[in-house]
Amino acid sequence: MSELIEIRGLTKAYDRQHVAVNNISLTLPRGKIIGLLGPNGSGKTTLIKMLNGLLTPTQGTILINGRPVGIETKAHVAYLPDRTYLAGNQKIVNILEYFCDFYADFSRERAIGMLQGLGIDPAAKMNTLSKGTKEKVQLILVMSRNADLYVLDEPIAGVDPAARDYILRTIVNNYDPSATVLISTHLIGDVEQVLDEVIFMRYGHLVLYTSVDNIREQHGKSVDAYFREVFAC
Amino acid sequence: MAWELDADKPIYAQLTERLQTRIILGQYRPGEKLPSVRELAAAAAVNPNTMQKALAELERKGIISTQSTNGKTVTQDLALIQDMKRKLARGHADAFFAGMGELGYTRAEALELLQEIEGAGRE
Amino acid sequence: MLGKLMKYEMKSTYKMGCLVLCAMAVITFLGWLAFQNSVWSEIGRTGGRSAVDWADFFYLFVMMLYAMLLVVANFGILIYLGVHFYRSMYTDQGYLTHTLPVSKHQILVSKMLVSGLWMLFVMIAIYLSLSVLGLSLVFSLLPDGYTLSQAWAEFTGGLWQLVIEFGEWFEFDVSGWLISTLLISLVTPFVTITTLFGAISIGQLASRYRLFLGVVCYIGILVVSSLVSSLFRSFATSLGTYMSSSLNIQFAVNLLVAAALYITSYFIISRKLNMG
Repeated sequence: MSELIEIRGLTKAYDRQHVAVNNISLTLPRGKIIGLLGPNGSGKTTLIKMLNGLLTPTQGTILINGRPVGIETKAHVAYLPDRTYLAGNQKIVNILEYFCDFYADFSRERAIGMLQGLGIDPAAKMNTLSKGTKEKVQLILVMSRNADLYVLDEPIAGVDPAARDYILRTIVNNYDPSATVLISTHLIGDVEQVLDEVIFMRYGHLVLYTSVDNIREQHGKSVDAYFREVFAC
Repeated sequence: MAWELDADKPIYAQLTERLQTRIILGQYRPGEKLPSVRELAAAAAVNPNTMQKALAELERKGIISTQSTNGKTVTQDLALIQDMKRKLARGHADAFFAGMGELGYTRAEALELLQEIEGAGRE
Repeated sequence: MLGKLMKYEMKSTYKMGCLVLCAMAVITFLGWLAFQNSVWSEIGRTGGRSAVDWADFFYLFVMMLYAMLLVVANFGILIYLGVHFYRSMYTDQGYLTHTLPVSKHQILVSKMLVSGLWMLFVMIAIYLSLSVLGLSLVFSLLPDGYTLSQAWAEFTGGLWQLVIEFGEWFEFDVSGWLISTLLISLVTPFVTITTLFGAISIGQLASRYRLFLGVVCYIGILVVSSLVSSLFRSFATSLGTYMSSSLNIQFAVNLLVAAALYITSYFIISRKLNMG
């Protein structure tokens, strides 16, 4: 089986001064949970948007499952942005129907199961839910898809520790050896245990791509601590 | 609920030790089937690949084996388990002596201290 | 996928659309009631100003209000559809819209068709409303001794005669004109919507006040296309050509503008999309 994601010479330049992603080449395998780490302005979000077809690269290519980013890849990529992307006045059941209609790999049973497990009423409207619950609903929608790539942008930021636990456990439970989960976050310490590999980015460049165990073995410290070292101002 | 793990040591090594401890304490009895990789990983809140690595390590040592298609079983070899227990205990002891050595104690002095503490405990 | 997109677009707009149509039905009914008043038949009978001044003024006021409400309904639905487009394409909701496994064309076309349909419904409702009120006015102004069917037959017969004579006099094709006017009326709502959406998409290129700039852009486009079509119109020679071409020219210009804006919208969401 070929690699899941092949990125070659990827660049996104807004103008000569502002280059968000600078000539990145990367190959990501299947069946891994990978952390995308970097300070603000490192190009993480830009990279994620390009993976999802929300931004077009200035140069370079992205292949997901051997295909360039487009309708085909969108059908197999599940994206959790770091904001509320669902209309407030919609009921959860209607949103489920929407996802079923557009995504062939969406599992309504799984979604209902997870919602019930959390005691969320599927007949509720999104704008009646608390912020934390809204985020859990959005996560459940993404995790109920049988995608090849899950891209989670800051899934545990701004969420209480119990919810954090739930989210990480859901990610682990959902694990599929043929799929890859890409988690972009600045809360490295909380997420580290769940990661196989990490990507460090800075100023639009790729700084490091290695496994969590490698870092701990070679440097005798956690990824969080090592990251602070690498990115110390 | 997640297993508490040290942040600066490789995760899989810590998982291996945890699993061994559970076997020694009888939480997973000889001949008993372990929960699936996914279940263990979720309970520990770690990556399934890392848990798999830990299990592979245990299998390599012969402490667990893959009997059927759906899981790993603890060995029935009680002697092996005792041996594992001894090795782990030995590891703790070595760590103790190493730590004491860093403070400047000789092994004899360290043993003396232990007996002192033990005697005081009896009173 | 296009069908599905249209289905959900309809689901998210039907409440407002039906609200506007109902409001128009209510306004029409109230207007009809106003015309039932004997004041009107008095005017019809006496042909003079035998009614009391304040009553006259009041009913004039009602007529103005009615006209205003129709205009508001038309603008209201346009504004609502524009804002709805902006929200689903260029705000946080866009994260959902643009990651669906559908083509950009499908996204645009589904929204244009459904929104255009609502504009068409409102336009038809306006014409219906005017017809109902026009008829009731005629009915209440009828002199005694006339039945409605008599008046209707005389009215339509006379009107048709007038139109044909007019056509022969000014050398233009009446039935052709009728057909083209009908077609243009049916297509114009979609053209209007496409133009509005295009302007909103252009407004999106700015970094702040995007929706506001989109509206400004739309107004600017309307002004420019009016100027352009009057320019063309001034080249018409005989009066006959003048009549049939003024509507066609305006429509042709609007159609071209809409096509250009569709292409622009497509380009913007394909290459220049900058969410967040």
